[in-house]
Amino acid sequence: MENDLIIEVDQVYKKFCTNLKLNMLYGLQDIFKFSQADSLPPLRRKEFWALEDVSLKIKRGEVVGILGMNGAGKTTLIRTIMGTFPPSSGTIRVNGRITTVFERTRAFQKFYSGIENIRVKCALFGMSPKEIDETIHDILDFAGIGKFAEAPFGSYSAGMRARVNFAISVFAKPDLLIIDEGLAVSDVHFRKKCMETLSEIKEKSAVMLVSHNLEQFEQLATRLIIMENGTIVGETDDISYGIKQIMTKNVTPASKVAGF
Amino acid sequence: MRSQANHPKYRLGFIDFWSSRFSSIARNWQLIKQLLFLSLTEQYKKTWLGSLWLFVNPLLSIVIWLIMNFSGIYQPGETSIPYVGYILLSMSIWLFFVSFFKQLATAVTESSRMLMEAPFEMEAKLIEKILLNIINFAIPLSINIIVLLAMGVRFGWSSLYFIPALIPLMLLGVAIGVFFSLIEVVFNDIYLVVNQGLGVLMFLTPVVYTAEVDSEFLQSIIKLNPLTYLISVPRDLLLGDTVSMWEGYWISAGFAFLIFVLVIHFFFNSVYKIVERIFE
Repeated sequence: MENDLIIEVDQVYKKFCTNLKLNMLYGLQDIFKFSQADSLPPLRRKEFWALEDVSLKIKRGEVVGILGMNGAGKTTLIRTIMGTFPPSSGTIRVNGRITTVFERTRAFQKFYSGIENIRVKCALFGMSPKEIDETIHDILDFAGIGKFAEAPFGSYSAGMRARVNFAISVFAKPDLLIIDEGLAVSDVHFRKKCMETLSEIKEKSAVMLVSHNLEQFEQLATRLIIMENGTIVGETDDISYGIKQIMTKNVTPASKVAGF
Repeated sequence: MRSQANHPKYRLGFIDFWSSRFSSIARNWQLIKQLLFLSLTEQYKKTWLGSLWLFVNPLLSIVIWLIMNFSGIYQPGETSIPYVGYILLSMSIWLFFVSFFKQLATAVTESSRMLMEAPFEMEAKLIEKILLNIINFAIPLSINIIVLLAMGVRFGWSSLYFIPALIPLMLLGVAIGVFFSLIEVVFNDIYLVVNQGLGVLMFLTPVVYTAEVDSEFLQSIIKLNPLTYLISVPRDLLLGDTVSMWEGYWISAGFAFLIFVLVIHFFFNSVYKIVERIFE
């Protein structure tokens, strides 16, 4: 894998089940299945493809915007790249550290202070004690939580939580930073600060941005990927053109073949 | 570089498999420490006494057993030390085993919130749970030993053999817990039945009574139950009693080790297939 290539997604399929009981049954069958065919597994009853034949590459220095309607498969793609969901078929190669910023963060503990939570989340991102000690003050400064650093996290506003979350993900020195609507609850000043920071870190890292705020794509994205029904239906470096296409819904699987 | 595909990530040879597990533990040591800190302190975070509850809880248990003893609820066989001391020790060892099951069986489900934002290696969660249980065992055990000393029971240096003698019991508890951490996600009914069944199992194991009980039926179950040996031998070693069950102990220890190895292989070959199902 070349050094600048951070993510390589190759013909990835991901299936889910819409029925809870069948989902548990399939899980039980799967854990006792000791050999697995290399070919594409068939869909069982009530299963559907959440991702279908998705391939993409992301290099250092890129800010890739993922656009699509609700249920297009954007978050599934992200969770598969992160490693939370294993692909049902296909391969994902990751070269480096991934950090994430989601709209609603669930990894924080409400009875613990901001500092305690920062330490845990940094460790989750694979940071060493030395790295954590070196960056914790930068994280607190960037998040601007000041005197609330020692207060229980449960007492933080949604905006403060988002600021801490974003600061950790940036200062963990990711090779790929994934933002899935992660800036939605921040105030306008912090959002501006984030955009400036993202412009700076894209020199050393790559960024995947999922948002319904098209302005963010225009400001930051170097490439736009359009998803629909679990597949990539369009890809372009011309961000304004891509946004126009999605606004006019002029995106169909055929446009993928036509190179958008 | 991480590579993820639809085939098992952990399909490795025996040596590579275990070396990969140990490397992962070393790599995630900081995370293990952070998770352990959370687990140890979280349950008492909203109490006035805080982590002091780690000591208060076992003291309350002692008081309860003292009350039960003086009220004559249990009629055990003859024990070499005062019955309350015997019960305290036995219960500590039994809970050591059961807690491995209870802690580890929910390890996968419990990880869901964190896995959503930063997938981490499951070795970290398993080791955190194992260390948590060892700490939760060591504190009441130390208090119980102090109580026994106060009751006039004396321990020799040979009592220290009690610690390595507990390892097979730990391996068996870890194996059962890790196995059910997968089952709990996809077949919770079985997990609930086993969880209840452990209460019954305690009465089929010489925990609150000695192995010399009158009932023939109970005698035959006790003889076939590997927990009899894995609990009685460490207890006898600690109390300086003559150990009469070495043969049964070594057979049970071999069984525990085998089950442990098989289950750990099974877990790491299977956990990636079901981890998404905890988000339903």
